Amino acid sequence: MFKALKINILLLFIVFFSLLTSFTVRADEVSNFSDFVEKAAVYNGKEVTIRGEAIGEAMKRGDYGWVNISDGSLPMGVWMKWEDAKKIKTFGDYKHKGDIVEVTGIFNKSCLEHGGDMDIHASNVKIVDPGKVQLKPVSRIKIVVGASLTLVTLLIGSIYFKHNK
Amino acid sequence: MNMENKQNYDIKIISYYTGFIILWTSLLMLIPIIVSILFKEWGALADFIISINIALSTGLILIMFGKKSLGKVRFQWKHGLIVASLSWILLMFLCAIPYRLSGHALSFLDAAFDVMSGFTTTGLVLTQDLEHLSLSLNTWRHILTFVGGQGMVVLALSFLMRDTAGAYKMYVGEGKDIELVPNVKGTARIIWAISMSYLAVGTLLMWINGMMIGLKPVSAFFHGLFIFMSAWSTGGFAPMSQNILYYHSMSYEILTIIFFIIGSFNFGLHYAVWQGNKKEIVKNIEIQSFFITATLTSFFIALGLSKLNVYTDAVSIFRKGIYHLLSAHTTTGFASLYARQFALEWGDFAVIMLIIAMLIGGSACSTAGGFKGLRVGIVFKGIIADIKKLLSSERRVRVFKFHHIKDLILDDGVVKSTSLIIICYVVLFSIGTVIGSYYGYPLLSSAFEAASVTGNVGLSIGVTSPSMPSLMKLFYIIAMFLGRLEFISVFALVGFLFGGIKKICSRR
Repeated sequence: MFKALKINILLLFIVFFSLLTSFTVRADEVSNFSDFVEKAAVYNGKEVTIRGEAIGEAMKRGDYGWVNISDGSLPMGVWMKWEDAKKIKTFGDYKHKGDIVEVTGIFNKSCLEHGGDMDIHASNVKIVDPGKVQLKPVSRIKIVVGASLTLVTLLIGSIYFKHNK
Repeated sequence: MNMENKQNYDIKIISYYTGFIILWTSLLMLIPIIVSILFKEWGALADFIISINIALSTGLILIMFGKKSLGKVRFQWKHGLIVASLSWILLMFLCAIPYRLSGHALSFLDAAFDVMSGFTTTGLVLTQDLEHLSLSLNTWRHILTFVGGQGMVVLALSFLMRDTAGAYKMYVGEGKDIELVPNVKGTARIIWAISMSYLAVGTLLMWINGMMIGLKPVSAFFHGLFIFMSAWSTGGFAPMSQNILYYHSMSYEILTIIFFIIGSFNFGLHYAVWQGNKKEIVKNIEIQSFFITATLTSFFIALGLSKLNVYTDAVSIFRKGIYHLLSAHTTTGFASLYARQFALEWGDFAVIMLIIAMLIGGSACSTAGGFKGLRVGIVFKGIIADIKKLLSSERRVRVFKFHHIKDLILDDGVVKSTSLIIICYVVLFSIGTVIGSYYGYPLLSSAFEAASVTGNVGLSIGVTSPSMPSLMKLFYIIAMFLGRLEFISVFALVGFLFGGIKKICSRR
């Protein structure tokens, strides 16, 4: 009887503790970055977790650096240790799909350290999905149309220069 | 010459010069073609080959159609005004082809919107996913805004073999009237010489600064080139969708401030300073007007933002408040925050200050838009002059003057014509605000966006997006176009198209 009570109390303690930690430690996950703009006051100063594509390039500033991460429609600036920034191998551009990065950090509505920028100061950076080269084959129709139009332009050009002689 | 023949020759002479402007502007596509070859962007190369051929063919056909009119009809004012406005419209369609073919513009209307935004140095963007745009298309976007700042007519006139009487009429048709040297071809070449000199120096400085803030050398060069082109032409385009916020750099922002303020000055002022007349900077009515209105609006915007505690330190107020105010006042449109932040955080007072600054705009005969500092100065001096006249004896005749490159007499005619243009801008702004409100956008947001398109600014409060109604996109295109060409040329084209040519001819 006493043993069962002890087990129940232990179980209750475990459940209570795990619930408590989930509320206090787990950061808010934000998948749509426009939420940061629309509800900036709500997220301001809170720890958040975002996941998105690293775009452009990392910009080194001392021991830290800037990496802009996009959710597909809105990029957000993330201030992170240069060691973390170096983990990102591929950045999104015309020829590449960038690494998908998961960042946990503090969201700032207007960062005092960075002249009022809306940003995230990262505490943890993880590469979730490595980027890749994006092959963009040229459509055959475009090649045919391009070649045909070049011939047309040359023809018109030759008529023009012939008449202008 | 009978009436029908005369009308035919009118159409032909317009066709000839429009074709001439299209031809020279189309050749600019060779630059993105070279970029696409160098960076192996084959998809973009195909898009530009299709586009340049369509544009060149159109230009050549128009020239061939109009060639016979040369020497048979006198080039009149109406021709100059119509050539300027018609070539802008045709170029808008032709230059939009690579945007649409890239797939980053969701419709041809969106593509045309972005081209007109570039030409007019507005800077509003509907092109999607700029982060994955080819370098060649980004080059094209910024060339358009750079060339648009100086003017496509100015570009074409630089290549004229000889100066013609019609050149000045086309030049005026593009919203410019200053004569730096006695002939227009020379003036056009000086405008380009000034711009290209600044381009070389500006790009170099931005390039160096870009590397200092962590960009890689090649990337820093292109970012520097694009941002300088945009800043100088007060365009507001940037290669990334975050605009200036992408760089997270105060030094980069300060450099852009310097370039867009210089870019918003009158080409006449640039030339005067180049000629050694440095006093002109202090004496010029436009500079005085800009200094006063920029100082006042900056002060009020700082006050408004501080009152609401939007930014709590001086650096943030400068980098956000003053930066956007100057960007708005010079009609540049560079932004270092997200569009919706204006609506959600700034408060009505600061937004109204931005609207006022956007409407006032930069200098006449510059790359900037808006009413122009010259007009604001003239109207203000006109009011002072009227008050002084009322207070002085009726027998006393007083002559009032203002200084713009040289001393000019401020008569009622000047004040009246200046006021008329300002009224046209206010009417256009009001219509834009009403249309925005009709489609359900908040009044202040509608007014903000209307001021941005009317003044060719490019700052957005979040209204401009691919999902906004097509009629609004269309109106914004027209508003940008009217604002840039300062109404008269577009009115002339409309008059021509709707049979107004008969009335114009009968008046002469």
